[in-house]
Amino acid sequence: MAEQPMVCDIVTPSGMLFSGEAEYVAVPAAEGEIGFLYKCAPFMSTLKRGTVRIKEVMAAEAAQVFAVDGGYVEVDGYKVVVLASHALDVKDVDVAVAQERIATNEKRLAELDADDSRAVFIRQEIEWQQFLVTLIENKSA
Amino acid sequence: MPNLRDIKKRINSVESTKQITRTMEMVATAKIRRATERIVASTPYAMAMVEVLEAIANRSAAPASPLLKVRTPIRRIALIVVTSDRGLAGGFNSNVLRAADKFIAAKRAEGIECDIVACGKKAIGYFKYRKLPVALAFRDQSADPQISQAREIATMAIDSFIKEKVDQVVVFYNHAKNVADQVVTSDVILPVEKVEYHEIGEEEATTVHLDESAKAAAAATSALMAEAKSSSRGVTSAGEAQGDFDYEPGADEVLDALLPSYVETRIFYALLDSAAGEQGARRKAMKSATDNATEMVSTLTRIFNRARQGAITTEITEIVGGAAALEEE
Repeated sequence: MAEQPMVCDIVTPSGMLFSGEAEYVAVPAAEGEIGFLYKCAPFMSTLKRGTVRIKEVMAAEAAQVFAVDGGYVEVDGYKVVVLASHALDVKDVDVAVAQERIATNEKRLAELDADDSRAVFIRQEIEWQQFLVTLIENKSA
Repeated sequence: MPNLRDIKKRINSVESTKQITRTMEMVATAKIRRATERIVASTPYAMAMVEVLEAIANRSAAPASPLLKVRTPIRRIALIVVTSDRGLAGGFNSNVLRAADKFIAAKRAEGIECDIVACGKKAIGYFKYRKLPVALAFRDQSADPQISQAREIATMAIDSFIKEKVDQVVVFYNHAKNVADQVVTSDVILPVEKVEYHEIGEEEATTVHLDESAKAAAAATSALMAEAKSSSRGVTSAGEAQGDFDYEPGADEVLDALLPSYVETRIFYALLDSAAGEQGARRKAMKSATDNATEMVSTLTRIFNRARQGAITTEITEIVGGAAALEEE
């Protein structure tokens, strides 16, 4: 149990996704998942595709979960800053929409050469949407 | 002598055009505020990213990321042209397109080919008409740019840069200098040069400037901006103690991972900036259209009144003349 809460921000290019006080934050760092408590050592790492879990102070419910697709985390013991270009509250994930995106992107991918630079993004997008779908399925299972 | 009914018709039609342009002006004014809010919302992210990049770049002696390497000679350039989807915004689109066209022509004269990424219907239409091939096209997003669009462009640009299909990536867009003025700006976003870190600092300064003028225009956004500023300051204070950070996997690897995001952020920023500029340009264009209509109505009304008075005078002269003729008999 931490004596004091840390400030935690999840910053995306379209604005703050989360900003508040947290007791515990877990992120999918480059070399495996890592968790932070109050007054941990300054640390900076890139992130993999995965979930950020935040346990808010005095939160009745379980930890808040956000899906991120890369980015980086910066911690100085008092503040955790997660910078993610793609991030989403897991509660907001819509499986139907994700599956529709996978379908349209696969169609687009089929029209391109494997070597085409445009294909790289489409493949990433499909993987990201598939990740969201499995995340929801595992949760409901 | 102009026909009275014709003049009346013209007054009515100018009047209704004026109503439309005035409405569009007001709509654009409201949208400027929204576009500015979006720029403000993206600022903490951009600032934090620049800070981290700066810290790492100072730490690592010789960053070896391929995205930093300047290539000579340049054989092929990827050109990202950002315009709007809709017209009626004065010279907004034609300025960018003309600048881009000049650039392409100049490069072609040097024997350098350009790959075009067109953002906005106006750019797509222009290059299609000119029969220039477009590698990637985006439509229906200019008023509300999404990060996924920036990501798609960035991913393509980075991949073709690394695979040496292109040697430079340049973006052309309208920078919203303030609410009323847009400046056509071209930025080299790949290779990422060291100087660019500072250049981004300047861009931040301009963003702040934009915020200030918007504040004058719309007081309602000021609370939001203060919030964004304080939060970005929060990010700054976290970044100050960088000296003894543990990097995982290592400073160079973090830099390698961050550079693509940085490129993405710059493209996203260009899209947002252009969206704000579009609304500013439209408001200006619609304002002058409304002013012109007002002037035209007043001129036409004067002509109408003169014609009416002329008709009355003629009638009176006729009556008087007729009466005089009767009296003489």
